Amino acid sequence: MKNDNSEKLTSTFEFDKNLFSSKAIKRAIYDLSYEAGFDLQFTTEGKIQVTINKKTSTLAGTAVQNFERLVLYHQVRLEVEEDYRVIRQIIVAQAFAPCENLQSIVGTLKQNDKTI
Amino acid sequence: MTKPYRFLPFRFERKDNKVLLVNDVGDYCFLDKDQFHKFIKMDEEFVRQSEDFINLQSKFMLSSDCLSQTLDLLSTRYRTKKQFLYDFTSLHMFVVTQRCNLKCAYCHASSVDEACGKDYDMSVHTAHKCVNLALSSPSKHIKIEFQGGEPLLNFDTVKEIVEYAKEANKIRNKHLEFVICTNLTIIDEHQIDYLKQNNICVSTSLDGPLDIHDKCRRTRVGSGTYSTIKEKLSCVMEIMGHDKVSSLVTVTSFSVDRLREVVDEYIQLGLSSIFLRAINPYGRASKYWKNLGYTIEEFVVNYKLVLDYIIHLNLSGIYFTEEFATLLLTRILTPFPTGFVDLQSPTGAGIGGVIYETNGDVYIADEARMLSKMNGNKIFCLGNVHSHSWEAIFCCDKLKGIIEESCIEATPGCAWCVYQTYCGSDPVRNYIQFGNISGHGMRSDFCRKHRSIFNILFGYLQQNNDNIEDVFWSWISSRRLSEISI
Amino acid sequence: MRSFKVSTNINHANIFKIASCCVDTYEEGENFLSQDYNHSSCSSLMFLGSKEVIPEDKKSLFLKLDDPDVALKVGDIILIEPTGLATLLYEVNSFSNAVFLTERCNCKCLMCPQVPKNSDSDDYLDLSLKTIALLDSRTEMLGITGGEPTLVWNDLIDVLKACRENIPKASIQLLTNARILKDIERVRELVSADNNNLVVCIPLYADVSSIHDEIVGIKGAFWETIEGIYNLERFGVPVEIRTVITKLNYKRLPLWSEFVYRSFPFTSHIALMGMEPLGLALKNLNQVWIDPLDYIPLLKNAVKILNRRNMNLSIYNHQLCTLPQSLWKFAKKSISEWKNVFFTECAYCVVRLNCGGFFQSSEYVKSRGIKRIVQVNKET
Repeated sequence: MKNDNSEKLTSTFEFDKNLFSSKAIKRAIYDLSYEAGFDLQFTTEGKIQVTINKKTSTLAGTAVQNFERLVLYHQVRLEVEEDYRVIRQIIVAQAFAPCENLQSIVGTLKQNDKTI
Repeated sequence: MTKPYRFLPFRFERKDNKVLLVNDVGDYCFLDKDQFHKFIKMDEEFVRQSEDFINLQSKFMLSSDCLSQTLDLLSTRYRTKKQFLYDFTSLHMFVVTQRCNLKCAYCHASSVDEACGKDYDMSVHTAHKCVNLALSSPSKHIKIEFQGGEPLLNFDTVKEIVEYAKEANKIRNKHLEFVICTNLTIIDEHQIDYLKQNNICVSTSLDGPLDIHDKCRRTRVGSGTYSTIKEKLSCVMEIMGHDKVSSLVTVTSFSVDRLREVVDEYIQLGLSSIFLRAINPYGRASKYWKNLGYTIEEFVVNYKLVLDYIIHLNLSGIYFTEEFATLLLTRILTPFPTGFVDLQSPTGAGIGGVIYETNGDVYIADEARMLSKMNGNKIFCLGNVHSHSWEAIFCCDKLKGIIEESCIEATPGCAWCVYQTYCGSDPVRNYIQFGNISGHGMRSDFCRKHRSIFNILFGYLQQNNDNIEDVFWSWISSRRLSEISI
Repeated sequence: MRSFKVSTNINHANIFKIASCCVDTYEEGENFLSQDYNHSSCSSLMFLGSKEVIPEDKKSLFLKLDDPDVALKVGDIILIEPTGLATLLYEVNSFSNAVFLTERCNCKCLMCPQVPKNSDSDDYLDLSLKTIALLDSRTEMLGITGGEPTLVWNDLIDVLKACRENIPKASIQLLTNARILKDIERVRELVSADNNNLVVCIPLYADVSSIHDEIVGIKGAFWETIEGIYNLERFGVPVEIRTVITKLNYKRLPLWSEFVYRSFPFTSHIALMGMEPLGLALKNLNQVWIDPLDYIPLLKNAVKILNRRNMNLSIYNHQLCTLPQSLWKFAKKSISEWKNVFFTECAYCVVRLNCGGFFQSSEYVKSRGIKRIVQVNKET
């Protein structure tokens, strides 16, 4: 990440697309959308640039402070969610049994994730 | 390389130097920030030496063996948490009349003057149809709640509904419960007797001591109602018993920073519980919002202060509960579901409870009915008891659509919120404020209010204070502190 | 089970029930049993008092109790063998009567007070059925124990059916690790054989599989037991969960309590038990023994957690002097009367009558905190 958040009216952050998915960045923006205005761009060098407009609210300052960490945590969330995605589907499917095709639903899910 | 363990579904959030984790079935734990990072990275040393590794297993945040059996157990617990879905519609609210003798400043029931004619009352014919519809619900427990306007103004229909429901229930054999939501100002002894004979609980509104209560809850000519209510309340509690009467507070700008006084008032009147309801920007309240309203932040700060006070009261021997906190704590600390229709995922509107307008229109929630009264928008009307069958009303595509869109597990913001397992949605409110059912997550007052209250409750829980835990459990299990503390 | 000696001239082993008593009070000294001609069944015996009651020339018709400490009551059931060994199979005044189905077990708990055998000949069915046949039809409680009773499945079913037949009102407490009950069809069979009075008591020693499996010596036992518990709940069979507190699992007590509450909130009773230093437990003493004084704060915490959640709970096998007074109301007298003893430290203890005492085997090891209590603090 590269960032530049000095005394200017906007703050800019840059994220390496190989380390941070745009999904994580968008989620962080969503979380802070009450507190500040955001602009997201994809640069030519393959980076994701986010500009935070500090003028929009009194809370924008904290938004800037927290933004990077929030992106990091969202990246972690996405990776963890990917790991348990199938497990979660099995839990919900089994919870509402009996239902049509339960065995085949659970069977397919387990097949996709052979460690279960 | 095989991983040393698998993550089980959980959400997390950083809280100072700790991380709070909550899983899909409501178990939670706090981890040190460093330990959390090792947990995420599946650090070998973490697995070998750490007590946290074992604790996370115990709390179903990770599984290191027998994953299939673990999922069986979690499915059972998940099903238990969502049990309200199996019960389906158990709360049936009857607007027996739109007439009301009061004109409260924040009313969103769109009431009309009591002198208005019978057009504003629910007819016996409509009432019968509504009861039939209510008893057709698959739920074994049916709660019929009389609302209005002021239901006492059409007491004959109230009685008719009670008799008819009991008769019709003889073949259905459901467990019937009755509640009347009344301002109590015009209740007489004959009515109190009837309520007592038929085990009808009373739910009323008392906003606080005289100068707070009379600011908003006035008659149509503008006089206060505090003294009348105080007298009637005392009478009702004596005849019916304290456990049959409950009261709620609509917190306005006049009371938001005086909540302790409101609690003191309740205790003085012999009430042992309070429901602190934040004012909603609907109906008349939205018109007078500048005078009545306050920010969510203001509400939350004062809510914390009054909770501190109520806990302190409990520890000094007075049993007194705050109902909303108790509900949320039940969700956090027990494996059981709770039947609060206003905060469920998927929404309780429609599938947990419905409201029948005087003319037989069926709405998914009180606010939906108010929306229709405000601007004729019947988007949340499921049908009418005179022209639609049970299937047409409860199995319609409209309701299914609302339910689908109200699952917070799939709503942006809620999908990754650490409090998801304990929270829910209000599709009607979202529609009113944002024009769509799923709402705008973190931006909404609704979300910020609930997140803040969860923050407060977890702030208490994080302290691991024996006294506070004892008080919380005395609320959850409705037992006195002396029975709980050791 | 309690055994004692009699002088007898019977030719083969037989089970007898004490049908009547000739004396109101028990006297130490020589006591006699005789055939009770007032009852038609030849398995009925009469308990007589001391020799003064019996004419000298009639003494050969009687069985003499060689053990002066034995007091028998109407309703007690004993097995007498030609060797003179008498075993008390059922004691009317005891709260821990049980029929014993097998010495075999499918676990190897490190603190097991028995030494499980792998013998193939489990000949306990006959004894159990005969005992049940002799019980009064108003009997209120009977346990089924072993080893692991579910290992002799057909015997277990027969015993349940016999209980349903002869003691229909009795609460039947089956003590099992429930591993075999992970197969739901087994539970279905169990429920069909019983009279709706079955309570299943299941030990779960930790809140995680690694520690529980280490204690019972079988990998996978934890999850099999949990499946068994859930299957029983599916059939509405009341389940009691127990743990034995040892050096290997004492640290888990508070989280174990939360785990049991959250996973099995339907549990009808939870028992927190002290260890009996006998059998395998004695052999593994260094591995398993921990002085209760060293885990009292954790035990207190566990009790607080369960009590808050309104769970029905008991503390077994802990002496009152080792427990803080606030926990006394949970401590039950759990050691069978014939098994329990007191030591010299207990002389003049003011709460002795309420205390469950010790196992006889506690002479091998007991808490350093054992001492008589001279004053009880008033309840605040």
